[in-house]
Amino acid sequence: MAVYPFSAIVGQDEMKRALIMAAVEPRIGGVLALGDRGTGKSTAIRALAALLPKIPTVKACAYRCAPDRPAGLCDLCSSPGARAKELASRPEAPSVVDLPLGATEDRVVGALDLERALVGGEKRFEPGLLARAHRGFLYIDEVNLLEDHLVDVLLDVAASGENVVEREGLSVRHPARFVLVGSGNPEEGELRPQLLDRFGISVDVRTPTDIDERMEVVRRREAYEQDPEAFVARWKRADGAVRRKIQTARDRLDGVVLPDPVLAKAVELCVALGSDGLRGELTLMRSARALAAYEGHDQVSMKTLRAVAPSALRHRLRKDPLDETDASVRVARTLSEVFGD
Amino acid sequence: MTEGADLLPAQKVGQSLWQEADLASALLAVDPKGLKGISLHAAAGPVREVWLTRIERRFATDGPIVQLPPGASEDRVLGGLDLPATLAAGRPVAEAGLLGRAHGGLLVARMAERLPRPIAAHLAAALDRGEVSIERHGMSRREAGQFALVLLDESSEDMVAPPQFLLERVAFQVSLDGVSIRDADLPVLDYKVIEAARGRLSRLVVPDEMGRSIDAAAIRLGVPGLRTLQFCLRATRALAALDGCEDVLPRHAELACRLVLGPLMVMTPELAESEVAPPPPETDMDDGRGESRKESAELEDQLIEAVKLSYTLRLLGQTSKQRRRGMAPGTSGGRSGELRESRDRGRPVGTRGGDPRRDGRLDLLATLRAAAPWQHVRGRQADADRMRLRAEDFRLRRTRIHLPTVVIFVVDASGSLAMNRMAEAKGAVELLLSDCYTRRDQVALIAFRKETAELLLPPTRSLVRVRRSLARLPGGGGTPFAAGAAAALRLALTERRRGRTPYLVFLSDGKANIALDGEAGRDRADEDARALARQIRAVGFPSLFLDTARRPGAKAMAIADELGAAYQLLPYADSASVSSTVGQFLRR
Repeated sequence: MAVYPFSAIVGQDEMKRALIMAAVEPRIGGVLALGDRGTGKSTAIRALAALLPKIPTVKACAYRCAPDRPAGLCDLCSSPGARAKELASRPEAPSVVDLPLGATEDRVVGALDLERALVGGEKRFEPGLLARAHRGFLYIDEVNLLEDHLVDVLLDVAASGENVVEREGLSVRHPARFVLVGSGNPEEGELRPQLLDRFGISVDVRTPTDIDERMEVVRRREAYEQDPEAFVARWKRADGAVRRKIQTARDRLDGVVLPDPVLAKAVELCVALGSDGLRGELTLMRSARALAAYEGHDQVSMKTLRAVAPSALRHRLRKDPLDETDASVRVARTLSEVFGD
Repeated sequence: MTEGADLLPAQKVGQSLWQEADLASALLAVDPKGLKGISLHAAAGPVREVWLTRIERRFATDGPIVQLPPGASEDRVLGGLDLPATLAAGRPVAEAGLLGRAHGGLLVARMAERLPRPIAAHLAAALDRGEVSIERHGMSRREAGQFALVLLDESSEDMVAPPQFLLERVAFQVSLDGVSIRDADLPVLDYKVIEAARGRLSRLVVPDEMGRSIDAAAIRLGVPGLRTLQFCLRATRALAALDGCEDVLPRHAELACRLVLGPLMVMTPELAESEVAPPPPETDMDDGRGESRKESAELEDQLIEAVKLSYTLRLLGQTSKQRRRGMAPGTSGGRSGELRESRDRGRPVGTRGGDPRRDGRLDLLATLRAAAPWQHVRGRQADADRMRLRAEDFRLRRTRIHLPTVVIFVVDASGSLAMNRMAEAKGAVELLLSDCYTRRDQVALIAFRKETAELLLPPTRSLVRVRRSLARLPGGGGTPFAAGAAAALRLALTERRRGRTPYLVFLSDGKANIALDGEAGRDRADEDARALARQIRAVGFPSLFLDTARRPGAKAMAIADELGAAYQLLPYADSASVSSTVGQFLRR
């Protein structure tokens, strides 16, 4: 079935913006969408796949290495023997890989290729989901229900950017850098703090309350379910425009300047919020630059900083599990204090 | 609700409930793709069998009718490697799971209240996407899995229910509580009727104004979810189709909202005070009233009244069921088979070599993986049809039994406490909660006041929910300690059957004055309290008693003694010491 188009999603601007920022700047470190059920979280993330601009990829490589990055290649691509012809590249769309609940560890990290082993007696590694997600997105729905041992694997790989497999007599390591995208409903259970910290930006997704907006959501959904192909065709141009904008933003990203006063403000904000560690500041700056690039600016303005701050910081407040004051409210309060309005 | 019970004879209530349940199944048959499924709350019995026979007949020509038994493993549900076939063929052979096999048909999940979470999550994902994606045991596949889901919820207490995230993905939640077999014999809807309705479905459109009225009503009834809204609109359309109309009429919207929103609505004082429609419910679709187009505001009010009626009906159904069985509310009938739950204790934590005849379960897949690289060396020809296995290839499954802890707080919310130290008691619970949060224990909350105890919060890890229900905790009334202890015991037993380790924490001054049967009187109340405390001790649940009185009380100490509980006076302004006491208690 054709995937619901990204541009056809009604409202939910913060979530859409967060996904776009992650597409522009993968180093932001992942997106976490928490909130009410039935608000199109999964729909938006699956729709994103169709928007990602193609990236140059080594044709012969099972891990989709980048030809222009000598560091961080897989064993094959970085071996001195493999040059020129073998490293020929072509543009390919990055993958958005689904990690379904109940996936077994061998499928996630990769394992011995059973078929080859049984038929030809050949000992060969069959890459798992982590390999497939390299340079793309790894999506986990109901991330708060993910089994603990898989969370451990993810944390390890996300930290090192490399998947190390030692099992069944295999010894394999390959690069696995991906944008982690999770969604879930906090009422179903809390997320492990270590995992929470891995996500660069987090968005709060709420059910819309405006009747016009709600009716529009339902109407479009209905139209899509009636005839998916026609619906997707109708939104093709809008989606194409977003894709081109993301591509332009990527090209511009390196040139986006972060003026000193803005930087100082960012640090001040993090201190005021007591967000632990440096990760908050890093994410704040990276996402501000990504948004500036997407909006066509060469410089990060205070306004942009302020726009991305809630997503970048809301999940990093020192956790007082009993303070029910919504984290978003706390961030908003501090924001108006720091920006003096 | 007793006055309502007089207005509506039990017979009438049963019939109406049956009609609702039966209509829901017909609507699902008309638009299975849009309405997704039904959750049916009913004890196993003849009434449910009639209902099941009828829904199965309505789906009979569509596709397979697949049963999902309560103990089905993830492998069976999703599909995966067919091990015997794989061994025989010498190469991986895939096996379709139950979800894939139900494609185009009906999937019936029995004992849905005990569905393990991962299985429920797979069901939810399949409902959302109409396909099943499998990443298991070396296989990566997607297969079609579009089916209508029937969840048979047999829970007899309010402590267990099918997971919320699954319930909200099906359009209807109907109940057969209070329906007798005499109510259940009604003319059967012919399959041809369903088929004709399906043909009409695509031509029908819910007018915009009507849709807005439905939405406004849903919001006012406290059900703002977008999925529910879509279900209401779909059900309205399906009803019009079933009704044989070429236009969608207000009466369709009314009945659809009643079916979809009735079980979900949140009764607030404002809603309760607005005018209730007392006439007995009419489920007949050709009642001939309200044909003229109404003002949308008027329609909105009508919808709300219709939904409230259904809400009332359900309550009556529950009471009449309890009355018929002669059960006091809150006592639970025992059910066999609950102990089976312990079968999947222990999570696989890898494999080890060993002899499968002596100890442990063989992990076939791992064994194959271990043997595979050696096939050439052992002289197996590529075209040979048998694997060459040796003793050293055998791999056994290693499991680790991890028993999650459930801390059950039993909080005294009676007048004596409310006057004095309610705020402090709440504060202490919150502190303990943050401890539990760090240790990732589950937490449940029972409060007792007036005549009864109430389970405010079934076991959860969500602190947001605990926090909320604690803030709402009302105070005042008598001290039915025994009722609180009884509720705690019941919950603890249920949790133990589910393979968890319960701990009980009582916060009370121990001055019981309401006996177990709700009668006032200190002596009998004391007696009951102590008797239950003895029971809890006999079953072997560790417990902690935090005395909330200003100074140590003899009664509290006596109860703590019977419980075999650690006893501590809830100190003033020194919450840290409470926390450390509980911490020690839980670690022990």
